[in-house]
Amino acid sequence: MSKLNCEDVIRRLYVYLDGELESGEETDIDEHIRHCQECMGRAEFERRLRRLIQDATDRSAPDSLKRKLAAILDDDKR
Amino acid sequence: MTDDRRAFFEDRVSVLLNKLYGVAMRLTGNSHDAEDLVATTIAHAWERLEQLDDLARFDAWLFKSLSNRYISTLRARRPEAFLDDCLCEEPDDEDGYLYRHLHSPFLLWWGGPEKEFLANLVREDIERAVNELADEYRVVFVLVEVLGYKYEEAAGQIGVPVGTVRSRLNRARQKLQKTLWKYGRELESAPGNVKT
Repeated sequence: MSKLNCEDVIRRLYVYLDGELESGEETDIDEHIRHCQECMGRAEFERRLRRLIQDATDRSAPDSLKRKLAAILDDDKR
Repeated sequence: MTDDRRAFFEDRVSVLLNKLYGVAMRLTGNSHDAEDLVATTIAHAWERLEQLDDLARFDAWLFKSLSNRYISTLRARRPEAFLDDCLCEEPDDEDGYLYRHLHSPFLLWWGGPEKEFLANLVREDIERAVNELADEYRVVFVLVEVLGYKYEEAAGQIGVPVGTVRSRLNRARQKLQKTLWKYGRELESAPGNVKT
């Protein structure tokens, strides 16, 4: 059974999701989350929100920037 | 510059251009500054490419150069954003703001309201919410949450202690979630979306 209670897990959740915990602590949280539906739900929500934020970062570079890039490279050929 | 290196540079920059621009948009908050930031970063990288020994590190090198360039500009414009404010942050209990407001313990572990809220979030909501963060919070948030930097790397790059990175990151996440909640409520109460 997990050594941590829900409060311990929620307090460390972001650090856990950031991959910044020591490996032993990470294993304890993994184990707790596997057996606790409340904490599993919370972790899943934060993971999906993070993924949405990362996906929202993908943008199409404007044509004007593509032209600038071409000019930088062309400049060097001369 | 050898032809091989030139071809490598052109290929990689073409592949990374959209992401570079996206990260620059997140950092600067506007398309004009984002475009300038990416163009100057690429021009600088092109001049310095010979100095990069290991081309396998090219992507990380380029993104680091982009964020460094933005941080230098911010430091010149707002030096107070680089003070160690770790101890000035008051601890609060507002982590996970969105989930706590959405979650119903009577539903399954991954229940309707949470799922529905995320499904209704659109790119514009997220962009606006990130743009509303103060510069010093936004830069930490982008380095860690978008670019995946470790706290120590982010601290080294910005020039503040790790504790400051952690407290700013927490504060950024709290503010972002509150803003997204506010947008969600506005959408719910907009004409045509009133629940009966």
